[in-house]
Amino acid sequence: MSLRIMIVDDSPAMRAFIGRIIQLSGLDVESCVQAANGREALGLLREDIVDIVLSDINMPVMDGEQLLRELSQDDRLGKVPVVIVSTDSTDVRRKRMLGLGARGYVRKPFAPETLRNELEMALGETHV
Amino acid sequence: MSDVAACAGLEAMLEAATCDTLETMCFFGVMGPLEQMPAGEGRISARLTFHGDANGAFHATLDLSAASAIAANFLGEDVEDVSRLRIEAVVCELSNMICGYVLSNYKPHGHFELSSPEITGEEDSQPDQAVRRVFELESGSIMLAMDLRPS
Repeated sequence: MSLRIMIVDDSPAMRAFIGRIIQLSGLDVESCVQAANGREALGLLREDIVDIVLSDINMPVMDGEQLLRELSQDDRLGKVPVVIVSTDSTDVRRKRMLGLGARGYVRKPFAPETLRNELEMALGETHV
Repeated sequence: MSDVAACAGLEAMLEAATCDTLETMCFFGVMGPLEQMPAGEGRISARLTFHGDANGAFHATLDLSAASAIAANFLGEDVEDVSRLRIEAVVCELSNMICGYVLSNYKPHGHFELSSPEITGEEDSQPDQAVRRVFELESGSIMLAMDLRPS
């Protein structure tokens, strides 16, 4: 099954990097949508849902924590798995994000195979 | 922990963060430590601040040639196709990752908030008490400085 992926990060450079790594990962990717913050991500998701969201935490306008809260309150969007990709790998932050509903947590810097493994785990075997 | 031990620990964390970040995310080799950055080339610097269980600032300064090559690798493009603005964006992202890596290792159970990195062009604005490390890269060099004060 081809995947529709969304990358949420305020850095265009990081969005480009993650997108490239996903394309090279061997996953069957149908589309890779990008958003600069949680608000933009919510707007795009309401128009066209994706299979998985990769999101940074620290972003202007709406951060990754608020994005998770908003998604959890939406019956339809709340089912979309979210994997956090962040420079913050403290236990406090990881637990908080997983507690808010994130299905995975990848620390930057990450190896390409780490990202792929985390995506596979978050999606479950049916998508890979 | 004594100041000397704390300083040595931070130096080691800076080295691990730099090597891991450059090699994993930018596919760029770190050759070894240097006393100081070689003179004679244009440079680019980024700075960010942080607060929480420690407060302070982080600076990264790169030779322009190194910054260009790192940005090209990070973005998967040829060096000549990467604009100055995009090089600056990658240097900011690199600074964010190295600083976040160090803080997460410095206090794994801690809480930190990082500011958005900014290009400064002022490598000499680093505070005197900052721990500094300089590394020779596969091309060019990088200098890192971190002023970290436990809160």
